[in-house]
Amino acid sequence: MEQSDILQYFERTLREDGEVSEPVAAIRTLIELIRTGEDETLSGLVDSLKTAIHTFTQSELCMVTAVTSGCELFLRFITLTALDHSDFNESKRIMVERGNVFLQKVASSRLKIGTLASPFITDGATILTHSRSRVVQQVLKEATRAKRRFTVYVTQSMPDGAGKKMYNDLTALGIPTILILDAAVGYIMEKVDMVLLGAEGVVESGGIINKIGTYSLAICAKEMNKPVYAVAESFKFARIFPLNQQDMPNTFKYPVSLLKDKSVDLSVQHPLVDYTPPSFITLLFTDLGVLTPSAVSDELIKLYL
Amino acid sequence: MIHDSDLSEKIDKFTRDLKQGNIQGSYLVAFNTVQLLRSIISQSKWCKAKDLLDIIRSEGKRLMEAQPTETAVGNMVRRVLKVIRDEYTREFREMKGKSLEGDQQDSLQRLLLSEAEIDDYSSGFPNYKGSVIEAINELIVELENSAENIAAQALEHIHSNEVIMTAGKSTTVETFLKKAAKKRKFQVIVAECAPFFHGQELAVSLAKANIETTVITDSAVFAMMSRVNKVIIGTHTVMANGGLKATNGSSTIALAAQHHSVPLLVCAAMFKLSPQYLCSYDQDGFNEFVSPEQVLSFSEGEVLSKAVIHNPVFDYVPPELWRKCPLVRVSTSHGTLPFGRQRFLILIKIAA
Amino acid sequence: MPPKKKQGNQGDFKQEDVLQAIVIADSFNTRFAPITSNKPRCLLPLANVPVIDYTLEFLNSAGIQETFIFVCSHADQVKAHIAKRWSQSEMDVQVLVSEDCLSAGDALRDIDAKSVIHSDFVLINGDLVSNVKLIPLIEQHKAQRLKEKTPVMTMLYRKAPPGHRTRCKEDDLVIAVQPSNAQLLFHQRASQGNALQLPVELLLDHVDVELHYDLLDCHISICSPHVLPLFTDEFDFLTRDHFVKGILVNEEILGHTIHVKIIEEEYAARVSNLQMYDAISQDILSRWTYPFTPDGALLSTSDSKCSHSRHNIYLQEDVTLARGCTLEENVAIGQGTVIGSKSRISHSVIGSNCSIGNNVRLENAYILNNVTVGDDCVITTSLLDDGVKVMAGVKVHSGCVLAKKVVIGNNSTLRPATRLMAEAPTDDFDDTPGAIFYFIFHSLITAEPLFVCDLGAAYEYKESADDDEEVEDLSADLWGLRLESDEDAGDDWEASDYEGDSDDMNDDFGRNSPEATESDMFLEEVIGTLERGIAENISTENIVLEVNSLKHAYGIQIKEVNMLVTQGVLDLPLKDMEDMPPQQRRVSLSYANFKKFLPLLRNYIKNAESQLNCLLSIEDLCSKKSVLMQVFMKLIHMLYETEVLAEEVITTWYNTKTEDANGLKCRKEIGPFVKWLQEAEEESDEDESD
Repeated sequence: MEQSDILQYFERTLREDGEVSEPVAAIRTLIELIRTGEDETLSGLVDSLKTAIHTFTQSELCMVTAVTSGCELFLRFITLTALDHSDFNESKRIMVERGNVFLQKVASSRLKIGTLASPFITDGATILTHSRSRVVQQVLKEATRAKRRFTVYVTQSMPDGAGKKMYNDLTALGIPTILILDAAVGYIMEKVDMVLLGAEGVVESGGIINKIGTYSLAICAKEMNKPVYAVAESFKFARIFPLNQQDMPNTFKYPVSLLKDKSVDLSVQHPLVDYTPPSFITLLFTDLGVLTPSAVSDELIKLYL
Repeated sequence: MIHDSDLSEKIDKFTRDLKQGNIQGSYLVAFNTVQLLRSIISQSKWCKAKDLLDIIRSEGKRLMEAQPTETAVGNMVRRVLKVIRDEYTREFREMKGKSLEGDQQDSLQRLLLSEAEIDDYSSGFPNYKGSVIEAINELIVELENSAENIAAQALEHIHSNEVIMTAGKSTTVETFLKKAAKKRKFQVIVAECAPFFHGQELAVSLAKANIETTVITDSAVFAMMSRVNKVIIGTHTVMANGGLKATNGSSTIALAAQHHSVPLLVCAAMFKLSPQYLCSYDQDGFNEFVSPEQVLSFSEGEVLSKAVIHNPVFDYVPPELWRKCPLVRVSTSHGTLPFGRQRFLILIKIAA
Repeated sequence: MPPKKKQGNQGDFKQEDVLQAIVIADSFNTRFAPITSNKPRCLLPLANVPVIDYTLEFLNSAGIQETFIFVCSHADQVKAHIAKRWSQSEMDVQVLVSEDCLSAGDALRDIDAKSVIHSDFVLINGDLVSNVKLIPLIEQHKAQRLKEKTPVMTMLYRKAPPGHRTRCKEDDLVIAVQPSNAQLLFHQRASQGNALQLPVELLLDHVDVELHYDLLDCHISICSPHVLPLFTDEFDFLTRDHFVKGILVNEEILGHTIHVKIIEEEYAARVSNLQMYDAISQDILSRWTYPFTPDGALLSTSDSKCSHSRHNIYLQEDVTLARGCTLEENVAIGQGTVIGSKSRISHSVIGSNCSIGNNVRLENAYILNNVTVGDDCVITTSLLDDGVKVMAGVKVHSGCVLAKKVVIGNNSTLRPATRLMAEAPTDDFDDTPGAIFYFIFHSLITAEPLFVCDLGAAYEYKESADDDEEVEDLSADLWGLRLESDEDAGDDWEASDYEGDSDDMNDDFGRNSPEATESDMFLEEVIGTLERGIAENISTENIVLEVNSLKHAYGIQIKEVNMLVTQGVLDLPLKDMEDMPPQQRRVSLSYANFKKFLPLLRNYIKNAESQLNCLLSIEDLCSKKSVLMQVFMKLIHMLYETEVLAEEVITTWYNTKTEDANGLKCRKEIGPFVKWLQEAEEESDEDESD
């Protein structure tokens, strides 16, 4: 596969299936690459995979944080598998096979999170959420199915107004939803029982990287003693450890188009995501179970050690 | 399923006792649960580990539903299930000659590396039943020794001439203090814990063991805290996020301790660690409400129809209250653990 | 594993003998009729669990090993329930059936004949709710018996001072106790008479006497085995009260004593009537009976789970609550029930698979299984049996009892304390004797005067004729009592009721009568009926039938009916004449006009009392219509002639003193007639004496 083919395959996968998330599409592409690729050595394979991953991040459709973390997990898996088998072609076959098993598990992870997290939404609860997240939607859907009555406040989440789409989706599900201004978070917080957040990435400290505005919302919730629950699939666990907002890689924060343009002064641009430290997060709902933020590092250490 | 009438009678009796609260203390609950599960394993008909798991799962579910507030039942059922699985994996590996590191929990590693389910617990082994029963006997021994094991650490924590505060009556704390009293001299302040006044019972028992004991009302906790060196309390359950479900009034004590920066020590045996979370800060769901008789007597007459009276048994002590305390430790039968939320998850994984 | 505590206790008893209990599951009365016509009272759900389960679970948890349940009516249902629910239990439960027992005394004699009781036993009714720990009390009883030999029975009482909500008139009693050994010296039911008659000897013979009027009789008695033979010996012991009286009276002769134990801490009460049903349900929901609460020890493992949340809301699994419905407090809802939006529910119990519509208001409503309640209904302090259908806009007021499968048409309003059943009862059941009236639905809102609901008919339940009136009054009173004591609730109801009704009247009758009371409306209806009677030439019997049904619809006392019918009969001709000149009026008020309704009057005005009522009613009417005053004497004369009024009644009325100007005027008017009457009487007397 050529670079352009890879990008094409990736973008086609994304467009064909609206429910599929970017990392899943990326991993699907990588598996395809292993299957059709002509690399004869492990390092050759890893190299071409890495190039492919870099290619994804150049795509306008790409949600960089999640794709990077998902692909990194996949690379780790390739190395682990390759270590088990001496014959390279045999191990390639196994990689594809297990890769598909992995994909299946990843695909079902959203459902799993839904069942895990929905008991936390009690009857009569008022929930505040930020931006649009398919996992959060799944959780709310599950809670509605369990006949619980609750109200959701959604922030508009500028600049792209993703909250508006979330609002439409939730209203279509029959959930009473109210769209609020990003600036109204503090105003609304006293009415709220819990904050439910999606995440683009979960970093090693257990903090999350999510749509800009999440951090201020979490600070506000913390001040008012409201629990903040983050919902994320485990392939979003990323091996980075940002200490503050500046510490986050620029590739996460700004769109590709801006980064490509060397003339742009990034310090005057709006970042797309922010980092919320673990102390602001009560619990994480993942397909591995309900985790405290600090358990994320345990999981990552176990895998990479 | 269970056809043995003797066995089903035992199960029914246990569930009824659970429902009526005839079993006092979570130690006895845990102990009886394991014993009951052991007789289920030995008396019911099964040949594959899978069948056994199904039986224990369904019966365990019944037991747990009998009294949802008794988390010890669920913890013990999970523990027994784990024993069954572990024994199976061990036998299975011995048979296959493999020695894989076993971890049944979902983890990133498992997510990536698991092949199609290698074991569905359907193989039979010659001495499987025997080894499961043996492992459960070990569990029972561990249970029986739990209070003693915790008490063995008493001298590390209680020093001479200290003033210790506790609340209500916890058998674990009682053994803990009495053990320390054999070597050291110290003073104990007991909050009485109205309306059940278990604190008074504890005070009597401690006084008999020649410990200098003071009983105070629950409202005096804050006032007395300034002269206290250490707070030692028991708990009903330690929840997955580190929150405590403890006797009514514990939250006040934890708050007062935090305010005065008094170290807080919680004594809890392994069977009290529960994988449950408090789903809502509305505590009514996890609490247990008993008859309001002790709060306002039924013979009060007309007031009754005008007043709503509640009598909750438990209190939730959120983990946030703990973190700021200089020394917060949970004493378990596996040694004292520094308090940290992440530790709990690992602990609970060991337990479950 | 049995808990250690209990094991020890039971072990002790096993060596001696088995702990036995007798449960009299039949109430031998009709307090819960007509619901009890197809279901025994002990299977009536109380907070969604049959009452008998509370009783048996109480015995079971108290450590009783063998229980005999005595049933008369509906034995098959009780048997089936016991087999289903209690066959697996560690307590041995046996059902004893005897169809021909008429009292608890008969039942005990029957049990004695079967000789199944070998030692001290616990005697309770099948409608007891309690969490008393019995074992220590039984031990106490045994210890006392060893010490003194005389005690035959220990009766348990719960302390509940007057004014307590879980206390009803029916169970009021006064007892005297000797404090030293808690021996019962005196026992009187307050309902047996208003005056308390305390024998002087009571105070002379004993140094210390404690009198109690602050007790709730929970009908738990710990009896020695002698009790049963005593019942067999004395055939007039019908109830435990008789027995107690007998023992007290013959104390010296037989040397038996009864002892009393007053419970201060635990809960015990009997579901003896509707008021107690209401009070105990509320006690259960507010957890006084812990651990016997809906979410606790009562559910068998096969039942669906029940959660308990803030404000004592109990929800079983699979309950659908629409958005915007509020469960205020003390609410229990059974499996599979659906509650519509904007409905407000408080202090109520709803069974399984019910459907409650939108904008419904339920307060103190007890709704059993599979009930449908339509939109905009209001139900207060009522009991709805299985399968009842209440269509939209229905108002069911305090004290109504709707038996199985009754259907209530759209926008009907049920008067307080209406009891309806879906089928005309046969005489098969002893529980439901008596005359039954065909009940016609009346709608206030649609302004259709009378119609039979097209979805089904209902029959009003009446107490049988041979029941003395006192009983009827008592049972009718019972549910009302709570309202009297609870002023707020009473006021609320009255206010809303009148508001609603008068609005309807304004709309439909174009009349402005904010003070419209039940009797006014009833009168309105009676006149309407009479008018139609003339216009359509309806036979008197049918008119009587219609008036009777009206009487039940409005809950009017017979005394008032007499007065109002009289008024109606007199009013009718007056109405016709309103456009006539005054002179003519007098003439047209003649015999002919009344003739048509004479049979009707005769039907109602029968005995002396009703005649007096009739007279008072005429007197009252005269004060309002001057025309009538002019013909007053003529009227009375005519009624005398037609033998509606007897002369004694007229004289009695004449002689009653009155301060009222109108009354005096009437008497003056009729003076000559009475004089004539008296003379005539004297004459006839003389004739007779000759």
